[in-house]
Amino acid sequence: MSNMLEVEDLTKVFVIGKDANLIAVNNVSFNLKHGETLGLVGESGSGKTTVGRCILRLIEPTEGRITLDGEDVTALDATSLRDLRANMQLVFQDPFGSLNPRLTVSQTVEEPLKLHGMARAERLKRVAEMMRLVGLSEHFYHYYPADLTASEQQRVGIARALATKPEFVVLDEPTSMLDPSARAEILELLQDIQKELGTAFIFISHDLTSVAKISHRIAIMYLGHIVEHAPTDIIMHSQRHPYSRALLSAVLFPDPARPPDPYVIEGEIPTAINPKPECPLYGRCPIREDACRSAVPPMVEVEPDHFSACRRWRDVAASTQA
Amino acid sequence: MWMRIKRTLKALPKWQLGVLGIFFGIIFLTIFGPYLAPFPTETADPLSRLVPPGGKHWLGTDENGMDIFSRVLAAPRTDVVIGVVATFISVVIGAPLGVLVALYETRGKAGATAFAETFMRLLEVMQSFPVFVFAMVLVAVFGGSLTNIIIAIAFVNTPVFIRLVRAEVLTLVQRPFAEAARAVGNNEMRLGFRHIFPNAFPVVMVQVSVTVGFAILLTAGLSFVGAGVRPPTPELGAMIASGAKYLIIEQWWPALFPGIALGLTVFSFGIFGEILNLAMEPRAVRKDLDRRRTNALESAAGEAAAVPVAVAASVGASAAPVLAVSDLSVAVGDAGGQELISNISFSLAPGESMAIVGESGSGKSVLVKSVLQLLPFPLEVTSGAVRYGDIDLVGMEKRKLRKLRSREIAAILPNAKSQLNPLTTVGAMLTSALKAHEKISNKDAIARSIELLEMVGITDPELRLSAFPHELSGGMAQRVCLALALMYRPRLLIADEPTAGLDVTIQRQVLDLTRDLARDAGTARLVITGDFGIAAHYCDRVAVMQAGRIVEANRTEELFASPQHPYTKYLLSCVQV
Repeated sequence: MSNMLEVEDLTKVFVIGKDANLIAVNNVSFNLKHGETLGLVGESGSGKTTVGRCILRLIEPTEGRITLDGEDVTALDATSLRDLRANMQLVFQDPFGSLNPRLTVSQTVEEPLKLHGMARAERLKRVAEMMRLVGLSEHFYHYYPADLTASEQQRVGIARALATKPEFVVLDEPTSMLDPSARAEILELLQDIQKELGTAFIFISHDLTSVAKISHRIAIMYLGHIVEHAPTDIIMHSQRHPYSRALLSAVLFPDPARPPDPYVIEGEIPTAINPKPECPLYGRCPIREDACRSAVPPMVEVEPDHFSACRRWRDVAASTQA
Repeated sequence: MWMRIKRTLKALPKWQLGVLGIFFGIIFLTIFGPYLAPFPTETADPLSRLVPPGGKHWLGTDENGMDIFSRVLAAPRTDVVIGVVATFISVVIGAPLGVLVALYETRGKAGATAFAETFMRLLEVMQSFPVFVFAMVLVAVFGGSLTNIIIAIAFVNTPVFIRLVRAEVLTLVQRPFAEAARAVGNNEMRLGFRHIFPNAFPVVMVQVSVTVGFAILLTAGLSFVGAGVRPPTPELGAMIASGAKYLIIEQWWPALFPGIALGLTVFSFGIFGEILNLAMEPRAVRKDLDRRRTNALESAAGEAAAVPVAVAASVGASAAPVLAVSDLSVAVGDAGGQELISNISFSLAPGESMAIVGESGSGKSVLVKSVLQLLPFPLEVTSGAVRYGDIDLVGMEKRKLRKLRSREIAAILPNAKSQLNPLTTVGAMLTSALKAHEKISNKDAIARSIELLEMVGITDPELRLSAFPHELSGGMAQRVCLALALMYRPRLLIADEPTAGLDVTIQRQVLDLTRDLARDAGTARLVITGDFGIAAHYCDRVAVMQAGRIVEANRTEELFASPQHPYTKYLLSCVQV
C-alpha cells in the first residue's frame, strides 16, 4: 500500500535569543500508511510533541516537506489549511483542559462539522454516530466538561477529533493523565475505532508499553532526532540503539518476576540549544567511541524495515542477546 | 435555565440572598419608582421646608420642601439608568476591542507587538487622568445633558474593559482548548469570539457590576459638584449635595437618606455581579456521578467482607512496628460528614517498605495526609489511631509533632520542583535545615551539605550549592528533596508519588537511589503510587485501595502471583503488557 503521509527532513528551530537556537526537531523523516498506527516515543524534550504539531501545522515547521495524499501540506495557505483540517486531527494530553468549558458535549462534537459546512440534519446524525462510537450514551449530550470523569472527557475529545472522519489523527499523549483502568479503556477504544473507521494514528507518548499495545511501528526519539525506527515487535525485543535499549529497560513491568533490566544510562537529557554536530546521545552513551563525536550518525537499515542511528548497533545487539 | 437559577440560589449564603432582594428592589424602583411616590417629586413646597422625619413626611423634606421619601423612590430612575447605559456602552465598545487587540498580538506578525504596545500606552494615558476631573471637563465642554453625562462616563470606562478583556484573552489563548479550537479548523475571529470570549465573560460580568456601581457614584459625584444632573430632577448625588449644607445645623435627614440609598445601590450591584458569576459556571446537574461513587463504595464494602483482608505478616515480624495504623477513618468534618477513608489498618516494620496502590479518588492521598497529620480543614480523623512506635500521632501536640516530622518521619512529595522555595539556593536550604536541628558552624554545615548532595548522586555538589530550584531539572530537584528528607536517617519515609512527572529513565535512577539510601539508613518506606510497576519492584508488601478502603494487602510476590480481590484482579488486567 502506498504512503498516505510522508514527512521528509522535518526540522523545527525555535529562536530563543541572540545566537541561541533551540532545535526541537532535527531532520526527522517517516511515513504513515492508511489505517496504520505509528508510535512516536521519547522523553520530555525529545521533540515528539513538536513533530505532531508541525505535521498539523499548528506550529510552522522551519524546514522539511510534509505531504498528505500527495498534497504538500507545508505549502498551503491559511484557508486551504483550514479545509484540510477536516482530514487531519489531534487528540490532546489534557482531557479537561482541551475542552471548552462553556460548550456542552454535543456542541463540542458538532463544532468541527459546522465549520466544515455540514447540514444540520446530517450533523446531528453524525454526532449521534460519534457518541455511540466512543461509548457515551445520549444523556451525556447536555453535560459540560466539568461534569465528566477524565475518561469521559477524553472520549469527548476523541469524538470531536473523529467527527469529520479524518484520514489520520495525531494522538498526543492521550492516556498519560489517566488512571491505569481508564488508560486501558481508551487504548482499547482507539483500536476499535481504527478497525471500524480505518483511521491512521500517530500515537505520541513517553510510555513505551502503552504505545506498544496499539502501534504497528514505533519510532524512538531523542533530543529532536529519531534514533531508531522499526516494527513494534522488533523495537520491543531486539533494539539496535543504546537509547531504545535504556528506554525499554526503564519500563517497570507490573510483575515482580520480571525484574528491571540493569541496563541504565546515566545522567539527564542535555539541552537542545545550539547542539553540537555529534551523536545526540554521546554524553550519556555507555558504548560511545570517538568517531561518534565527528557527526550526527546517519540512519542505517540494520535489517529490512529496521533503522538505527547508531554506529555501533551491532554491539547493542550483542548486549541484548547476552 | 430554571434549574440553574434554583441551584445558584440554593448555594448562596443568606446575607447574599438579602442583598439580591435589595438589588431587585432597586431595579423595581428604577421602573416603577416615580409612580409609587406619595408626593410630587419635582415640585417645591416653600411652606414645608426641612420638616424632620415623621408624620406625613416619613423621611422629612428637603430645603425646597420636597418629600425625601418620594424623591428617594424616584431617584434610581436617573442614577441606575445612567449607570447601566454608560456601562453597557463601554462594554459593547471595550470588550470586542480587547479581543481584537489580543488576537492581533498573538498572531506574532511583525509590528503587531509594537502596535499593541502603543495602543495600550495610549489607553494608559487616557486612564491616568483623574477620572472624575476628566468627566467633569467633558460635561463642562459639551454641556450637562443626560446624554453627555452618559457619554462621559462611558468614555472613561471603556479603556477598563479593553484592558481587562485583552489580558483575559491573552491568558486563555494559551489554554489547550484554544489550540484544540484551532486544530478543528476555527479561524482567528471565531476562535476569539466563540471560544475565548465566553470564557472571559465571568470576569467581564464582575467588572460590569463594579463599573455600574462606580458609574452611579460618578453620576452622583458630578451632580454633587453641580456638573451633572440639575435639580429638581430627583438624583441621589444632587440630593446629597443639597442636603450636605444642613448637616452642620443638625438637620441630618436631607443628606442621610439619599446617602444610604446610594450606598445600598452600589453595594447591591457589586454583590449581584458575584452571584451572576456563580450562576454562569458551566455545570449541569449530574446526579449519576454521586451515585456511581456510592455504588463503588457499597460494592467495595460488600467484597471487603467477603475477602478477608489479612494484612500479611511484616517482613521483620519480630520487631515492634515503626508505624501501626489501626482502624483509621477520616471524614469531612462538618455536617453530612462523608467518609473519605474507612477503617484502614496496616503496620510497617523497621526497614520494611510497603506500597499503597490506588487510582485517583481511592483515598490514598487522604491516607498520607492523615499519617503525617497534615489533614486540611475540614477533614478530620473520626476513629482509629496512627501509632509511631508507642506514640499516637492523632491529636498529638503540634510542637512535638513538628519535631518528630522533621527528624524521624520524613516525606517526599510529587513535583519536587514546586516543593522547593524558589528564592532559596540549594545550599541555603540544606544549611538552614541543618542549623534548625543542631548547633553547627557555618563551615561545617556547608561541608555536610556537600556530603548530602554527594550522597544523593548530584555531580559537582560544590557548584550546585549556589543553584536556585529553577536551575535544577526535575530529577535533580527530587534528589535535593531526598537529601533534605534523609538528612537525619529518619526511621520512616513517606513517599507520595515520588516520581510523578519525571521521565522514565530518570524515574528509574531516583527509585533506585531512594531504595538504596533507605536500606542503608534502615528507614522504613511507605510508598504511595498509582503504578503497579513501582509497587512490584521497589516494595516488600502491597496494599490496594479502592473507594477509601484497603481491599487487599499481601506480600508483593503473592499479591501479583495470586490476587484475591476482584478489584485487584481488574486493575492488574488493565496494566498487563
